Amino acid sequence: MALLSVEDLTVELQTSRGMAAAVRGVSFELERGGTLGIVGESGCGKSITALSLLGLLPDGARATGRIELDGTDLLSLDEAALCRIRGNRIAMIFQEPMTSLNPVHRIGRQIVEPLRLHRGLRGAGAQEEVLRLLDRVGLPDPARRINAYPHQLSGGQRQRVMIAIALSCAPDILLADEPTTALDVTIQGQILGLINELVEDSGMGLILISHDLGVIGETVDKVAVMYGGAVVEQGDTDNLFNNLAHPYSQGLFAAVPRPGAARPDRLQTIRGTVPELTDLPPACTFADRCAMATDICWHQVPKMAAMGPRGTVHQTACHHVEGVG
Amino acid sequence: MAEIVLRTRDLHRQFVLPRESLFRRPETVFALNGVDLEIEAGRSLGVVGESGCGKSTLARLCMALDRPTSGGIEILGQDLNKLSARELRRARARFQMVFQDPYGSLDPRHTVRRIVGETLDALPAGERAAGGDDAVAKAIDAVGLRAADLDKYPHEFSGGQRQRIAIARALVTRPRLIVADEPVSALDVSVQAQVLNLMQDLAQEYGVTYMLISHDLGVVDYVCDQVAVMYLGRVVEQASRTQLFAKPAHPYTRALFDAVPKIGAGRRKRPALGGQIGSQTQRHGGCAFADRCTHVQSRCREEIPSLRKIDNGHMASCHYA
Repeated sequence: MALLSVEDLTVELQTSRGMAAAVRGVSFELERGGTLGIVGESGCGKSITALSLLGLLPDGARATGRIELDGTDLLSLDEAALCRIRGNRIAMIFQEPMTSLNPVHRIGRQIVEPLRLHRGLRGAGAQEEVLRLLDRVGLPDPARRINAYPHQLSGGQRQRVMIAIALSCAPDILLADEPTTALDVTIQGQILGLINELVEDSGMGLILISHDLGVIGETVDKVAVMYGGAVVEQGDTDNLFNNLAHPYSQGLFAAVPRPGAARPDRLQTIRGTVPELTDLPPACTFADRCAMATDICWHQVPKMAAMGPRGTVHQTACHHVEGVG
Repeated sequence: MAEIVLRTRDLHRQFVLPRESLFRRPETVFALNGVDLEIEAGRSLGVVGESGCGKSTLARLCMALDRPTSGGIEILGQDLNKLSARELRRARARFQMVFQDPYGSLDPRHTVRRIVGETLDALPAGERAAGGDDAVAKAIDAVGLRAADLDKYPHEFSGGQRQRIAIARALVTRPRLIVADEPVSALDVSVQAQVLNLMQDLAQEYGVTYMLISHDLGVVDYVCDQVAVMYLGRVVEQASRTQLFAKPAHPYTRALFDAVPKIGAGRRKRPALGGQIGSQTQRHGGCAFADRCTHVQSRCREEIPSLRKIDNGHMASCHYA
């Protein structure tokens, strides 16, 4: 059985114009030790999907479907039970290492907190564990840094502290929401390398959320491409990147300027802009920007269909892509 | 020889930090440590580097939004530091800027007509290109917005459209040089491509030359003809984009290229560059990159490498390039 299985997850958010679906019928599975990337532009529902795994949705949001962690449905748990899972079995690294650490507490104290809550560590034992964690994430001179405040660390160092906090309870799943977006490229490489190494060593599952196709392609085994709250294409990373099927994935891929490649006369673009949640087309959410859209795209939600040769995992949801058995 | 749009000579800029203690001298940030650049008309320059390398300070100095500690900036042969306030205002018609954040850089209480027109109104009467309102409508049309958009407010537009408004505002005075500081980094990938295409079109139609500041090598490669790589307040390598991407000479440039995730390259371990960017508050006796460089020799720590020619039109500041 899969470690985490999400089935037909739909999340509705309260907006000024009534309820709007931010996530529409998303399904995926994550095995123990598996790595999954979720890629998409702003507003595609990737962060809301992550937050719903932790029960951290904004007030007034409504989530339906199933999110099963080892057979327990997380959506049916109460707050107290969720508190025992958050930070303990599912840990999260947020995008902004500047704002996700508490500026008025020393970092040592912030790492001790989950150790005390979930593992009951106190005093010298906790201190020792903090040092071990900081050393593990490669923060130089941990014994001195333990008393530092977040503002005394650089962006990359802060992100290392965030990772130490996430690792503190040896979680089953690490959720990383744009962990390197706020960092410089050379530092980005270091942090992704660290996350990769930790995942390999500890055998935890990784869900990496990013808008950066390159980061996703290099780090994970499986990818889901999201647009307008729905997964439009998913599969094994190499397979998917080599045979992009959905018009949105193709457009997204072609729109990225690549250094060093032969310079194209023009970059390919996807026409229009990402619409507001409440303005999304009702059936296929990409219908209003898609060059291939026909009548059926506006009236019938496309189903996920298997693609490519047998034995490979690759699915896409588009009325105009021929599925191959 | 083509006309030089922008030339900087040994540009230095230091910022004094607030005093931390009564008894210690306040620290100084060495933001720029001698930058020499030239931009020829029609050959847009991309400036790349990580945070803290001085690229935004350079942009502000070139726009005369800030004054250099020492060194000079010439735009179209005019030394900006020698102009009086009135002359500078007049000269601003020829160089304009596009900022990074399309949400912060447009006044939310003004209509698009006023935002774009304000650039013209700020010019002395003689400098105003013919027909104020006409010029505004033309600029808006050039960036792909409609005349009906002129009376709307910024909040009615998406991020990409706002950046188009910001470009129209820069374009309306018919400048020769537009300095764009991370113009697309706040935009989604699919929208980013639209704005980059627009910038390319305008360069050809309006004869605009860009100085494009970005951390994204792909963006720079697409828009620019020349590329300068900066590290801790110095240009460490400068070349045409084809030369630079084919044969990067400086170890930092190579590390920067390696660090960029390649789409569809499959899973790989990136050759990670160790350490972090050095302190800006210290002067480096030798090469500023020495602490992170994999090819470092003792000479690198003693002698500051100068930017020297290593090939036709290709310069690098490394003893061993």
